Amino acid sequence: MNIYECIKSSFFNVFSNKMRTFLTMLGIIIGIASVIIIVAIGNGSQAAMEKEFESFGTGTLQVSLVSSRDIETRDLLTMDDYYMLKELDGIEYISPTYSGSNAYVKLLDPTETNRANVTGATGDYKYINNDNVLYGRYISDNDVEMRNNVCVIQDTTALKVFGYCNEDVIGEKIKIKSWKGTTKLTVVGITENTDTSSSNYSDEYPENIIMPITTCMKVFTGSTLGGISIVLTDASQSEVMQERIIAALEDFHGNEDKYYIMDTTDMVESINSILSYVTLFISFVAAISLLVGGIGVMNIMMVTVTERTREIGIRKAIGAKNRDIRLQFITEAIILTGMGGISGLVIGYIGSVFVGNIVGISPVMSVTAIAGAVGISMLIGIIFGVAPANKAALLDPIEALRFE
Amino acid sequence: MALLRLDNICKKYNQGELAVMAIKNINLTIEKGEFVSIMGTSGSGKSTMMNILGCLDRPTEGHYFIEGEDVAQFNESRLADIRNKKIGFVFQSFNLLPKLSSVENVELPMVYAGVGRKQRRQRAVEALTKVGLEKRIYHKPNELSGGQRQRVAIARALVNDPSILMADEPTGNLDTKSTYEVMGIFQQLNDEGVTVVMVTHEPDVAQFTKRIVVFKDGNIISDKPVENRTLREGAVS
Ligand SMILES: Nc1ncnc2c1ncn2[C@@H]1O[C@H](COP(=O)(O)OP(=O)(O)O)[C@@H](O)[C@H]1O
Ligand SMILES: [Mg+2]
Repeated sequence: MNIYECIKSSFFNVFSNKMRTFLTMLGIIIGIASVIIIVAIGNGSQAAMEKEFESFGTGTLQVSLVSSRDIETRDLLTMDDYYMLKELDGIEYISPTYSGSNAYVKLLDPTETNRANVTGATGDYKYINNDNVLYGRYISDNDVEMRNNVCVIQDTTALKVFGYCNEDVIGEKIKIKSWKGTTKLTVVGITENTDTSSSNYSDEYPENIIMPITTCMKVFTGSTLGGISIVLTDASQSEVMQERIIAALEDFHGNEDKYYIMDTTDMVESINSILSYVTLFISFVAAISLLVGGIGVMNIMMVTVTERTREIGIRKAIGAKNRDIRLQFITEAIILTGMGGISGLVIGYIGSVFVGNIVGISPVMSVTAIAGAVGISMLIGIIFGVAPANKAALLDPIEALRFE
Repeated sequence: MALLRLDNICKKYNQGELAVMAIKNINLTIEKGEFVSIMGTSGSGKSTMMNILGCLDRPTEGHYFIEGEDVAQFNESRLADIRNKKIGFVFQSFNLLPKLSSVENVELPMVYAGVGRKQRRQRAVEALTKVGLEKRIYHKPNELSGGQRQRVAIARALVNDPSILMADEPTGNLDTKSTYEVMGIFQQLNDEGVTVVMVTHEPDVAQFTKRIVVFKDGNIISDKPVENRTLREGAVS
């Protein structure tokens, strides 16, 4: 019996009892669908996170004050700390940061405003933040010194504020509203918004605006820094440098245990490892559900073999060999689990888009996951189909023919 | 060389401690072109004999030669080949696959023989025409009468051009009219050169054949040619 005949007759048998086929496949469908959802959402959140940190620049050290109650005025980070650390060896780029809150930017339609993330920084921030300047220039150390009312905006912001995005925007003014009133800033540069998620075109997405730190502190009346961002010359020296920076700050302020440094590389790694543990755990649960699904297939196949004992006897009587019968039942099991796998794949894909929408992650489907899901489900068919198929193959023709 | 030759064939069934000797030291030769009926009371060993002849079962002892080849201790796969190509078997209870149409049932032995799709269909239709069912090729078994079902089974048994046609009480489930139809077909096939061996316990059915072998308690007690043979309608003797 050739394989084509075998597949044809197996499909015929599988489809001649649709309800049973569906119920048998259910375990596999659920198992594969959950694996697909987990993998797609897991990959999606990993990709989203990497994107997040990429724009921030991995290998960046963030110096900040510990959050504790016994902070005294002398502990606060100021521009003096920035000037002090700037002189340390082994630092490639350094920028103090200050974030203005509750700010709004006036849009093209003068009656409309949008929320703004205002960051005060120095010229080095361009490299720390991996900003790509499309038009004009970045803020400079001169702007910081002169407290110039200038800013760098993103291309998406330019479109929303001016309605266009080209050289002509340079030199135009934008209006920032804060609790202190309205400030006019001259746009000196436009950077590329690399966040590709669709939300960045919606009005809820805040406009990212960068201005000289001194200007920012003037506008928002601050004198202490939010933190200091540093990129090292040699990223592998991170631990040594962290100790040196802390020591320098403690020495400068005459205090202890008031500062901490976060290495974004470590953070990506630790979040990734948490994520992979979660994925591993859920995958384990999914594997169990696939196992249960496989046992269900085996169970039904056993019942099918018993029910079809007479048919097996007839087939043997007219010349079917043991291996023909074995092949037929294994093929039926593979068709069952394979179809279950493909249905699970489709449902899993729809499910991951749905779940992704709820948790705000765009799912990432990989060819490996798709091929793996179909492959694994067929493998389950083989593994759990062998025992019933052998039972069928080894039936004695006379006994089988006598079966009622 | 005889078509079939049984040499001291025994079949023992082990039922727990108890061993039943279903047939004992059977010696029998069947030549090409014969039409043999096997008779005997219930439990005399007829089916046991037919199953061994049909290679559905192996004898416990002895040799069984088909066209000179001793198949008594062939393995499962080689026996399957013989069942497929050299023997056509017809059962009392038809044993058709209920979900398949007549023509698909008849095609089945050719599927296992590896015959191509087109040729399979053509030969199956020819076989069904031969048994007078050319108008029923797409009917399922449950849409056919008992006699028609048995004719499908005969077509299936014949389709691979076997050396011998075997039947275990082929008319046991049929009414008189269908019985005579089936016997007529057997007779015609035999006239065309097909060797036929069949079990029956009805003397009038055995009268259609050419030779009667009688079993009793697992032994052959008589083996005679048929006198005053019943001939099918329209036969030319
Ligand atoms: N599978 C079996 N197991 C045990 N005994 C059997 C089996 N098949 C047949 N027999 C016994 O063998 C003897 C012959 O049976 P069988 O060949 O079926 O007779 P018949 O077909 O002439 O009625 C009987 O005594 C029967 O009980
Ligand atoms: Mg019998």
